[in-house]
Amino acid sequence: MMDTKSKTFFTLLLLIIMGSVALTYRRAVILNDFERVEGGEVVGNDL
Amino acid sequence: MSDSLLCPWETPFLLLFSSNVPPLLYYSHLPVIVAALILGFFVYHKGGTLASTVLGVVLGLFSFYGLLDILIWASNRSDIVLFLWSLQVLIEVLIFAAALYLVHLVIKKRDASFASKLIFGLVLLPFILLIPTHYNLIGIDLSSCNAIEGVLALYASYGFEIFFTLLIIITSVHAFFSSRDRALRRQIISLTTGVILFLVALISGNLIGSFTGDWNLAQFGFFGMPIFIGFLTYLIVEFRMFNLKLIGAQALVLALVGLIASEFLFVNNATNRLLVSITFAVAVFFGFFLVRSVKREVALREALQEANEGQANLLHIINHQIKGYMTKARYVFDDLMSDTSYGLSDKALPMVKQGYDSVTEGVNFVQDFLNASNIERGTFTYTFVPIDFEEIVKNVSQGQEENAHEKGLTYTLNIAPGDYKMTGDKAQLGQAVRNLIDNSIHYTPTGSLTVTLERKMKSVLFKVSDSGVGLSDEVKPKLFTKGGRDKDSQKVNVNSTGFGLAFVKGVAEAHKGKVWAESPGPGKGSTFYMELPAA
Repeated sequence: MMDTKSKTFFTLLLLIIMGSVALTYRRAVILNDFERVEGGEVVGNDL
Repeated sequence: MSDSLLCPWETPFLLLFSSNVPPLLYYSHLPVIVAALILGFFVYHKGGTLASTVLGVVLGLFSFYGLLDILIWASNRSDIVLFLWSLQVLIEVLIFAAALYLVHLVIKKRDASFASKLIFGLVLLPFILLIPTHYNLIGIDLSSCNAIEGVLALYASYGFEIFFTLLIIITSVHAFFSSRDRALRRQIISLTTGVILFLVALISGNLIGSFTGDWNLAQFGFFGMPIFIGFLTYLIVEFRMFNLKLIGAQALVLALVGLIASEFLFVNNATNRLLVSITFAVAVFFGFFLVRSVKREVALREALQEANEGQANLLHIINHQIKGYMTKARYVFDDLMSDTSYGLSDKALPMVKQGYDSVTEGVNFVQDFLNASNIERGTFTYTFVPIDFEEIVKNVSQGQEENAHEKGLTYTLNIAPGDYKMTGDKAQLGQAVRNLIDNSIHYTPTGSLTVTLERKMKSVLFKVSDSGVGLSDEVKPKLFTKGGRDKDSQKVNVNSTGFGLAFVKGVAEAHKGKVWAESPGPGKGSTFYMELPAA
């Protein structure tokens, strides 16, 4: 199986990915920090 | 929920079912997601090897990706779509990276170095960190709930995916041409074809979606997964890859049952429901018996293989012992003949000589078997040193010429002028040359034998032509295999073991060379070739 160094590396990478996913959720669902476009025009950006 | 965040269709039922989802999407996604999830789960938990764990991760990520796809199509909330779409961009690249890792593990049969993992991790790190930003997705078009993609989703993700796909191809092609093992080559072809078709199907649909805005074609990208599962099933059943024996048949049955079960989502009247129910019941019934019969067959095959291995081991040990006894007997006969102090009478001496010859033949016979057996087991060791192949041929030829003359055959040795220096094992190459000449002497009742050595551009060609019994088309393919001899061969050569040429093939291949034979037909003589790379 995998050596300890590699296991630590993949665990760290997984934590970074989870952090990135959490921040994506914050941006999209909590802050609604994105452009909403309708008919080619921006109709809203909550930030 | 503010109306400014909603897309113009109803809230989905159970998050998955909405009028915005094209019906084909359920058909293309749900059975595949279920099949990949089941296979992934089994492989991850039952495999026990790193390769099976990584395969489980690839299949798991793919199932999750497929689920996200349906959720994105169904959802009318732009914030949820933005979140899930961002995740998809990340997961898509991770599937490609994991597929590369999987191909490396299966083909190289060892884990990648920590340094290479670190490099790939560092290359992917900026991509992972930029996922929650505007570089990934800028916003959402509320009329369709499609994302407006930024540079990360539009270019970087596809860049990574193409890069990983190319690395998979390079790794596989390199391993394919470096290996002489046919079974491994078949594994490489099956795995790479399956993985590449799966990845290319996934990327092509999404590329069209990203650059034309038409995401309808992307749903067809999922048809690459059943192809991948098909290739995986072949690898598991044929090579017991990923440490699994029966999962192939089970996954196939479950995928079929899942496919039929998914029909329930589209049928909307009682007759059709009844028909689908009957089909479903029939598939479950026959699936059960299929899995059961495959289980029995696998168990039988395993028992047979175990018995064969046991028998081969026993034969090896017996032959080893017999060789020891015979060698001792040969020393005794030799001593009796050479030491006059024993005072053997002239009458007894020919009998002792006959005993000596017979035991010598016996030792050679057993040695042939042991050599071929060791080559097959991979326990044969070679000592590669700079050698002169011409010298080896000349030395062996001297002894063999006498044997040919004793049998009344005309023997000719032709060595074309040239440089025959190379790197190789002197003793084993000598034995291979001896076996080839010996083979021709044994199978040539009358006539002639010509041994030729030629220098080619990058190789050395050794050939033995005889006017002997020739070769039938039937025997040619099994000529260089262990025990592979003509059905009538023992009428001509009673001492045929069928292992001499298998040994020659093993030695030639260990020197990165090749062997083959040509013959105009039975009774018309034959020529045996051994080509070895020159220094």
